[in-house]
Amino acid sequence: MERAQQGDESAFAALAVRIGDRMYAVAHHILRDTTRAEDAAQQALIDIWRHLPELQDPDRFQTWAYRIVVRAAYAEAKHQRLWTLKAMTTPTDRTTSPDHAGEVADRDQLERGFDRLPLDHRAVVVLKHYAGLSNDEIAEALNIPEGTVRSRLHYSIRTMRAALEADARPGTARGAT
Amino acid sequence: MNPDQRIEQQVEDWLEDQAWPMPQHVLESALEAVSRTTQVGRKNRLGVPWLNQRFVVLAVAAVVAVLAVIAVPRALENLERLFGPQPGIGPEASEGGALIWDPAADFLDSPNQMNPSPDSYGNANVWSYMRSANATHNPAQYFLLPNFHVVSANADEWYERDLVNLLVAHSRADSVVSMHPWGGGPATDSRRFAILAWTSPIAGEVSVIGAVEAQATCGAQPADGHTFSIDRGDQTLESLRIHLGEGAGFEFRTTVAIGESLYFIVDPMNDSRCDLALLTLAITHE
Repeated sequence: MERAQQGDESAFAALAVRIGDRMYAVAHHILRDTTRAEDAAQQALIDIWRHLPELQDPDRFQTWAYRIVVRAAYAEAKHQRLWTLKAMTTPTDRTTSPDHAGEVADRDQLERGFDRLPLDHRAVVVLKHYAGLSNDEIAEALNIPEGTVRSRLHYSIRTMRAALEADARPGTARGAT
Repeated sequence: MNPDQRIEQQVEDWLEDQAWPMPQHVLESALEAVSRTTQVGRKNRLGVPWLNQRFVVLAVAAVVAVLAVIAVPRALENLERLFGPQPGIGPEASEGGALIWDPAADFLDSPNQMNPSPDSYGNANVWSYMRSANATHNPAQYFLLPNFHVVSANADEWYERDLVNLLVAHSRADSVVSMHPWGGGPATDSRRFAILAWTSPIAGEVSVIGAVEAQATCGAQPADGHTFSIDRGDQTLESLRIHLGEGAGFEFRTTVAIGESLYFIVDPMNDSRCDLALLTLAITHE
């Protein structure tokens, strides 16, 4: 880390290999789009390199790096105001045995519930439940009050729970023509 | 483990399962760009130390100018909005979190149906299920759908008996609001919009994010899809032409006054065959 901060590109390359997968996964979870996640993760790595000398406390690197990748994801989302709903219209190519059908249905419902969350709510969920940050670290990374972190988490979990419970109810949807 | 903890565990497992590794070409492109990028506070590649500093000074000056002209008055407005009286905001607003309106979550199913209906914060008359008198974007010509019907164990709908298939419905299985217009053709009198209206209980800026999807198939008959619009009053903020089997998203911010309405409108265009539109929507105010 110190060598990378001092401008050593090979040291930064090693650091990028170490954190790249997590950065990409966070961007992908937030954006729900492979191409845009690639662009956001790439921009985040470049920004981390550029601003690394400004990081005074190396112990805070993780939170700081997540802040940068979330910002890159937000910026990427703004670039494309309209998008095709691939996630809603493309059938899953996952195959499943009957034994796992319930589990896959739950995951599909989780995905649907997650897709319905606003971008800034997804970011909080991802930093909490994927990156493993504490509420105060999330507040610092996103520059929002800790109370907002808690309320976004509460709403998000409620939304995904509703999606799972809706699926558990019997019946079929109407299709008017 | 309580139900919320169980969901949290499922979310963690699902996120971990979906965490694919960064593609190699992304890493390579980033490192290639890094080799051309000067770190902040270091000499640039040409070895001219003042170039970066001068750029930083200019950038800071530009930001200060923008702050003075735009951001400070806006921040003062926001402070006034935050600390001034805000009639209509429910108890959850005092916690400092975002207010979120979701028409699928707020839809009151049988036997509690209401039109107009309240939001989840207890504000009355926030959601209205409506139709237009013709194909004109004019709120004075929008009317509440008078009839309610339990379609199945999973779906309820507001409709009007004399207008076949004109409906605004709630599908619990998909957590969406479904809308279907009536008629079709070039003349404005030959079409009726299906309309979902959100009447704001707050004053300020809201974020509107969502998606609309058309049916994927329509049997043997041709169908021309629909046009989905979002209006504030009679002003159209967004208009999306949705063909059969297609979907589109929308995301924008707009300012509303208390009592002002946003209308989410499905226009059948030349025919109303297979014009069921599935709407997912979140309106957020922070």
